[in-house]
Amino acid sequence: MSDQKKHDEIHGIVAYFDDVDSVMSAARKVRDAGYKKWDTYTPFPVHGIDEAMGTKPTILPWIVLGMGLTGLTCGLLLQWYTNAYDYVFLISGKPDWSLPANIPVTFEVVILFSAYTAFFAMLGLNKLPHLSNPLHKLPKFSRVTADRFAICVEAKDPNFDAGRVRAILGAETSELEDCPVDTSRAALPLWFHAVMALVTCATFIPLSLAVKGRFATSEKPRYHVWPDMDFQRKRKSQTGWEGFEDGRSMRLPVEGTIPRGELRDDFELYFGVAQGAPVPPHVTFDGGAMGGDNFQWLSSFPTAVVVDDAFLERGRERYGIYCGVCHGAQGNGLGAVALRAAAIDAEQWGWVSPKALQSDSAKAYTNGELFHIASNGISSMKGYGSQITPKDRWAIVAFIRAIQASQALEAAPADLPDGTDFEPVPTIKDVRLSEASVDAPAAGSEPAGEAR
Amino acid sequence: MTITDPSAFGSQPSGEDDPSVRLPLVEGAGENFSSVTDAVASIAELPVERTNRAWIICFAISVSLLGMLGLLILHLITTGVGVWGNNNPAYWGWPIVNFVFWVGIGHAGTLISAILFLTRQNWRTGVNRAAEAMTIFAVVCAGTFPGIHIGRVWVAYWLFPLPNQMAMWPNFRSPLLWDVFAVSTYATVSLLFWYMGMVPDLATFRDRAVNNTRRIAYGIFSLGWTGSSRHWHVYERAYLLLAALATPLVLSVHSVVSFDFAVSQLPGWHTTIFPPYFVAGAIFSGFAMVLTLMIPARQFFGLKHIITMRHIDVMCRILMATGLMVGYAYSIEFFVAWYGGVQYESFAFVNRAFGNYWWAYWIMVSCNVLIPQVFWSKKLRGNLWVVMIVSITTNIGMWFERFVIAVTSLTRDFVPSSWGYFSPTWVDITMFIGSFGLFFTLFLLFLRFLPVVAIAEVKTVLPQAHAHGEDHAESHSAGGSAAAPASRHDA
Amino acid sequence: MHGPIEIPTTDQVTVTGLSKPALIGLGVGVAGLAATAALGASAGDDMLHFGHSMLVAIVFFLSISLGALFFTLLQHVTSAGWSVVVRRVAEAMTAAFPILGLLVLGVLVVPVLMGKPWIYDWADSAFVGAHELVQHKAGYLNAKFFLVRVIAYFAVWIGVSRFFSSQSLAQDVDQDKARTLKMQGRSGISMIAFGLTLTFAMFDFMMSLNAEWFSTMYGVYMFAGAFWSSLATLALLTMWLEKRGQLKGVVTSEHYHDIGKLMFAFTVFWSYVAFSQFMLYWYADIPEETHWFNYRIWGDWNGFALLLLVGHFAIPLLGLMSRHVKRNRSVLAAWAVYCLVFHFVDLYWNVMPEMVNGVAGGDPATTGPQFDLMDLTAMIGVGGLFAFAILKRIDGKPALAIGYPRLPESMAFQNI
Repeated sequence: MSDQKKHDEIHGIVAYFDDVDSVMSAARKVRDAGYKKWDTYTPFPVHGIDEAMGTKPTILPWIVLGMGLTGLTCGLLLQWYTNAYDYVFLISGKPDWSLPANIPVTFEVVILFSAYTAFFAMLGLNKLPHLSNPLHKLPKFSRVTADRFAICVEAKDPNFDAGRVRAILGAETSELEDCPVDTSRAALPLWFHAVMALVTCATFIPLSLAVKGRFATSEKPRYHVWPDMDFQRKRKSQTGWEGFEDGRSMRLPVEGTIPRGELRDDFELYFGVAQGAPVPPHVTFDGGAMGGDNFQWLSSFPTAVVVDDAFLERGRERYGIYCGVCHGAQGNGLGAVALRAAAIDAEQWGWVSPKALQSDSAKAYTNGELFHIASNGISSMKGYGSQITPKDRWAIVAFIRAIQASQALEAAPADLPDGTDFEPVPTIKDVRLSEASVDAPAAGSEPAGEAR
Repeated sequence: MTITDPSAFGSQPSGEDDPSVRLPLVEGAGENFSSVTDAVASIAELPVERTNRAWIICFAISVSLLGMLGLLILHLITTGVGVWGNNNPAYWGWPIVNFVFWVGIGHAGTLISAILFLTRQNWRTGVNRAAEAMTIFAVVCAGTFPGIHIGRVWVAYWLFPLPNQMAMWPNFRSPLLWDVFAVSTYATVSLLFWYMGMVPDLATFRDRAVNNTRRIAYGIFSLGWTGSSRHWHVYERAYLLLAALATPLVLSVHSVVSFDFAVSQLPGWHTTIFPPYFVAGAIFSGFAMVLTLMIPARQFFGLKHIITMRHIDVMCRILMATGLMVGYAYSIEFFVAWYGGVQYESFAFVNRAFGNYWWAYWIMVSCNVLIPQVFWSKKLRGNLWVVMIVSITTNIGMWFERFVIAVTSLTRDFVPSSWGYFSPTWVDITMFIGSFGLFFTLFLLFLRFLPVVAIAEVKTVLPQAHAHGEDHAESHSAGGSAAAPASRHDA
Repeated sequence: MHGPIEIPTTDQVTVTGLSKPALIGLGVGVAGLAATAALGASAGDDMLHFGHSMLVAIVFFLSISLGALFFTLLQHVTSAGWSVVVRRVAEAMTAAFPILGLLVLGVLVVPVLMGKPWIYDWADSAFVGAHELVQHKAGYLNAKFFLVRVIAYFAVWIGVSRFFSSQSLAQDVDQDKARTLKMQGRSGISMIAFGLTLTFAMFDFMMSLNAEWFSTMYGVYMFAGAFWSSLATLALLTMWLEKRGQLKGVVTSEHYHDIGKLMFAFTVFWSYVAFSQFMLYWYADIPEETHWFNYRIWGDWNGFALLLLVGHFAIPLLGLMSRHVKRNRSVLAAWAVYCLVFHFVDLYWNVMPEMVNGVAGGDPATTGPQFDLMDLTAMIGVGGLFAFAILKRIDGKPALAIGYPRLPESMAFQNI
């Protein structure tokens, strides 16, 4: 009965030893007595004690191997995803997915994963950190980390019998003591909890700031860490400056001069109007404001261009770059932008759908008008005069004419010459009716319209 | 012939010229577990008011230099990297030289702790802790330079593959990014290795603590270590694995540093021997620094019986061996520069030796290859002044090696019209000096407050640490116990 | 094991009865060489295949001897204790230098002296005349200097290996500890000589096959493979002597464990060197340097390159990782044989693409491997002579350095 009572009170029975031989010999005795919940405590790893205690080999190496292989996969995936999939860019002529160049980082990631695992799995398997241990309460036990050895058989062991344990250990050493159960565990001071709670909360501050920055909008300008790069001491274009008499920061050309390459004396080529007509002072498309009606849109092509296969090919290429994203590669108005606009119903904000170039109204324009639209824009389309050279704009006009001749929106035009390569093209109406996803027809029929 | 007691050839300190006798690793007949613990712990337990005056003076100097470094970095960041001498064509000047110099020094620590552990060079126990600490502090110094070299330090996180507002990722085909991974992995693993090795010793400090501050501080960092054999079992396995992982890592880090240079097409940089050559050079400079630090430390802190003359002798020999490897690389580079028949390459090497920077080249060759040859003499290996001087000249030589590689090639590339000459500014020079302040501040703090010597490991090489054969014959059949001490000393 | 350590008597460890196997080795060797020569002469390819097959075989066995020499020197230079029980075996493996020297002179040097490009394109004056880069190095790559160098290499190797073997054998008799110190004292300078001769020998024998190509790392690359295969041979020979009884009870699984660890380490080291050499040239992408890799990796030899990646690196890396593998004799023996096979693959991949390159006027990128019976007979021939030299050395002498003062330490040795 008294044994039973002790069982409830004590953590275990501790025996102390002075040298390796005696602790090894005692460990063998305890092992042979069939105890499970017991341990030897030594100031350094004693060679052979595992065998004396019957410790089974740890599974740690397998955990590390597993995590090493995980690291291998992660390292390769990281580099593949970032450089060959998500953000592909060409550098020094290397393939996007350059295995030889990825080996060093993969290797480092394997080592990093394995090393972290070796350390933290060691802590985990040993159930560390374990700051509150009843053994630390024993004054004598503190020398175990310096120069003494100990064995503790814990009361939790199913075979624990204090008398028998004392007998076994007592035969090996004269220094035995009971280790009382530690009752001070809950006695952490209140301030400690408060501080820890505060620290825990504080760790969320950076994260929440990042989340806020990611999702919230702000009307304040962004924060400039070092303003000298962002605000340089120079005048930007189209701003004022008191340093010049006229208060502009930019200079005007000297009166009576034309900058090199800016001479616009070929009206056909530059404006799409017949030579000799007055130049439209500023060009908008609603008739009256044009500065008089006494000019004539060119219906043919300017004399400065030669319409041949190469010119049409040039037009097809430029069209693909600048026009196709809205008007579609086939000119049917089904470019990626148009489809996207249709999908989000952009007309509610004033968006005007790009015209199908095969439509009758588009066909009705003269060449000069088409050129003018390409140069200066129409309704919600902007002008491309500043981006495309005049000859290229004419090439685009020629290409549009070719589309109109070879394609129609629904059925073949009656006046089609025999043998013409003709195919009907889908229109925006078809797309809406078929309730297809926005991407499906674009991916299938609009290779040039695929903009990212 | 029969030898009945295997320990007989392990512990007799008779004549050191007798090859059948292994000298004890810890000197002094009366050394035991208690005295080893006392010797190391007493350094950290010394009350603050009784701190060694030499330590205080060194610490004051180091902290001032560290402060200077901080101010210089502030100056650099607020003004721009133009405060350095880096300019066309030598965009890589002192910062990269200092970076490679410090990373190189950081190699000896992991070499001693990992490779020598795996090869059972048990003499390492005396010096591995300090060498590991040195590694970490050197890597901190090394990391500083590329960190501030990027110009806009507040976006340094772009170096890592973190999602950012530009939706861009780093370029994994660039060796500079490999460097980021290699050096940060190395710093992490070295730190884990160092800390894990220290846990049992911190527990020793905790259990010896005389006041609550120390008990709590050491107590938290020792994680509640009890010395349980079941813990030791897992711990030793983890330590072995970390060593096995750190060994290829230590090779990889300086190899990757060498890739920074060698993947380019610049004459003098693009040569295949660079990876092993840089690794040998790194170990060389690292051992030189270990010697430079350990000789005064053992003198001041009374550790002469733990860091013995034999340690110094062995390290001198390693110094000489790695110096020869570096010399081998110098000569092979020269030979192949001619043999390859590439005129730019031949010019680059002739220019190194006889061009504008001939002085740097010959400082490098004499410090790295010629001077360490004095260690062929056993007598000179035993003269601490000579060892100290050679270890310092080695460090100088290795700094110049990186200078020669980085600067001579950059200032003399393919087109003579882009040739130039590099001159450091006062910021370059003072920053390099300041980095020593950073290094020594950390190292002196370590010397004062942490276990300088791996106490538990030193105990394992004491003769008392081994059970005696006749007591437990049963373990022999299982093959698990009680090596003869001698087999654990050198291999 | 830890009780009394019994140092065996000289009689117990002395190897006897090998004179007949040695003679068989000699016979096989001569027959193999004769067959190779006959096959080579009848191939009608101007002895090209003969020359290259012989080069692979000679370098294969030469690298085993060189690795063994390095092993011996390494143990002395580090005053090692664990390895004493196997060091005599390594010393015996260096006994093949004279016979290999004769083979090198006969097969490699003589054709060069005759100006025949059987192996080396630079032996052909027309080839040199047409290649400016090769002309540039004519001061180094010429027949006379080649002969001088080969003699110097073998003088160093034979001299060094003889010194260490004879000192060790003499110590068996007189137990003089001073000999140990003497060997340790000479090991440093021998190591330097070894490093330089190995590097330049491999530049000459292997790298100059493609006289325009160059790599500063090549010596290290060849060294890594040499030590790797040498360790494998050391393990096999030790097991054989243990089985015969001479090393029984002396060599334990602890020693095999260490040899296995070194094999594992050098698997990694070889891969590290091979990868670095490849990656640096791949990355910079300079034609003068990449041509050597182009036909080896992207041409018809790509299967071999892949085989090396998997077989010389990945498989042994995983296979040799476990301590159980390293401690189990028969499993380790299987891995040792495996290593030897892949060392051969490595050398074959290094040498054979050059057969059709250069003077032969072919394109190795489209020709690919052309196996021939000669490849096998050359290996049998050189291998037979190699075995003859080694068995002859082992025969009648102790297989264990019984006079070495650290022998008890080695016998009691245990891995942690």
